Amino acid sequence: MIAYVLRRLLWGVVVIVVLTFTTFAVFQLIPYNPGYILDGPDATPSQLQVADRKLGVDRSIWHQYGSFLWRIVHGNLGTSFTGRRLNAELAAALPVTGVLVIGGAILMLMLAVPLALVSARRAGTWIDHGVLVFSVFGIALHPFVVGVVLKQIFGQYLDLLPLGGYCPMHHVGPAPPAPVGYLTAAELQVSAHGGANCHGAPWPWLWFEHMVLPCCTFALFFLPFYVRMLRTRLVESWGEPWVVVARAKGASEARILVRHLWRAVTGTTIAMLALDIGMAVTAAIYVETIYALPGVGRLALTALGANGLTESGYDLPTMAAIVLLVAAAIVVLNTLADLLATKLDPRIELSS
Amino acid sequence: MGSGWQRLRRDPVGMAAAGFIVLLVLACFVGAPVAHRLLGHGPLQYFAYGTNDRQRPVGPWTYVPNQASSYPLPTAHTKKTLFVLGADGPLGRDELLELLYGGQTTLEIAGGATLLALLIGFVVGTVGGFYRGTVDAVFSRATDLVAAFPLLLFVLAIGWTIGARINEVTLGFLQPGVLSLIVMIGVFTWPYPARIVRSRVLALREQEFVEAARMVGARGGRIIRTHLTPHLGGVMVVYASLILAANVVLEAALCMLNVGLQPDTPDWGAMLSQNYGTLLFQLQRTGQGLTVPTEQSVWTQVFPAAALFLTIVAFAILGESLRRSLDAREAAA
Repeated sequence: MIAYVLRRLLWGVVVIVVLTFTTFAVFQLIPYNPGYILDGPDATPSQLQVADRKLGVDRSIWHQYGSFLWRIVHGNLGTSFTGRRLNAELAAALPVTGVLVIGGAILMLMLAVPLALVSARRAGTWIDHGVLVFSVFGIALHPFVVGVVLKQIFGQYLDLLPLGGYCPMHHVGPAPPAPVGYLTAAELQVSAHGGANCHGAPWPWLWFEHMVLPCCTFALFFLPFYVRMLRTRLVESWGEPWVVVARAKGASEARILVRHLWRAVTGTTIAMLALDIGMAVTAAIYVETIYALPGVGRLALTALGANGLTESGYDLPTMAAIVLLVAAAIVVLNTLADLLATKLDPRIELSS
Repeated sequence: MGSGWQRLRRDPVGMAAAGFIVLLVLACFVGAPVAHRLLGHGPLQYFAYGTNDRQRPVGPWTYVPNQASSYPLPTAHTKKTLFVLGADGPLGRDELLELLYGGQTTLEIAGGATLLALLIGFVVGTVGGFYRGTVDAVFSRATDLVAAFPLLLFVLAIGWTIGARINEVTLGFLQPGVLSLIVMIGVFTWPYPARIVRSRVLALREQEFVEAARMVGARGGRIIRTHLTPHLGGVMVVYASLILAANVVLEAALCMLNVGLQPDTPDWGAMLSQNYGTLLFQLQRTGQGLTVPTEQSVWTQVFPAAALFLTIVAFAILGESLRRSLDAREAAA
């Protein structure tokens, strides 16, 4: 098993190298100049040359990629073209996306398992059809539409929850009143949290109420797929020989479910969750855009040119760091999922 | 395929979805120019009185003075033109015509991207599944990689930067920007058909007719072309429908993330994001001095959302019912 894990991780390193190198290569292919980020859209050629030297993009791709790898080995993600320390940027953004993804996944499973269970137990009845219709419609509903509608209902009309922004998981002190230019310091602080006002109420509540709608949107995005998959799996399992044996020995349906079926269901769920990690990042980009959450998705969008300077291409160091983290997450979590799958179902053999 | 088709015809929901899709295609590609002629104004024409003075678009079934500027002030004798579904936003364009022409763009992009995805998936799947060995290992790894990694990041990077360069390629009949979106989405979605095709080919290559063909001296390419391809048609049609549904979603999402189409190309995703964008702006409650004088109309959000929703539902249902009829045929065979 250790050999298996090592082989998988080695393969993972190859994947990470391929993906990050692609990030660098695509950047080389794009005929745009990041020097515009430093000097604005009206930069002169000589200014651009100085800027390129400063950003290090005048050297060959091999040199650039080599120094990127060297920095990574030393645990340093580098500095973005806009001059921000990426270690700090990502340390700030990862908890937001982490809470969104984990909270959304838990919420989704809390809804998906009961729905699938009811639907599978009552297969063929109107409840089952209802769940089926819901899942087809759910797949067809656009995540942006779901997000905007939820936001409008609960944020605007009912005024129950904030419309967007994020409050950190710690106390934000009262705003200093001194004005700074046009914006007060309080207002500057607000803009750092994506429009949320994090002063006043106790921080756990502020943090919680800002994450409710994003997590719901995220959960609804994945819910239909999981309900359908789990339902299929449950209906299949209920006819399996080992379930028939258990039933013949007099086990109640509840006991069958708890003692025997949960393995099948958990295995399927874990396999699907592992496959969907890439999709989760995509969903996080949508959700973070709708609710103005300062997470990894927003960071990626900003790095990809939401700075408005399309002449500049994308922010290579930021993108490389994000690609690295996402690829590493995919590799590690998939390996974990495969190991868990063999624990749950001994019939599965490890093979890479 | 025969009995599968019969089974589909006995499935009322699937047939309804197929009927809706036929109607939709007719409405967008034939109905749009007809409506254009009948109403007498174009989808991108601005009407000063398509909105009220606070830029709220007029509601459905309104007669609007037929003039682009506010002056001369309309009188009782001013020629008026009909907005069947009202106006689309602050610019005061016709919502119905934009929906119909936007449908063309959306269907072109989703359909073209699906074809491209199926083509790549078919080649990768058949070659990998049939030849096995190193080729298969490399192709399978590539498939896993593309499927697992959020390529949206790369699609956005390419779309926002070099998209502008390939936007001009129209092949003579496409709107500007359509081709680049087709390529981006197609390259984004091929792993799914590739996996399906590969697993089918793995099963097919062990069958007697392939062995017989090989025995009489047929080479790999010929076996794939003449013996395997006919067996893959059904499954490709099923997944074409399902992928098309997914591609409509993706295309709209790309529009909302500001990739691809030029501002003046009618498109459902763009229509939705136009309102979504203004929605975001309008909903700034803590708003640091962001006061927005414009008013919104609920119609301009409902119509494109409904069009997208119905189209995606129709393709998803058709795909599901095609799959069921195909599965039943295989179970019977």
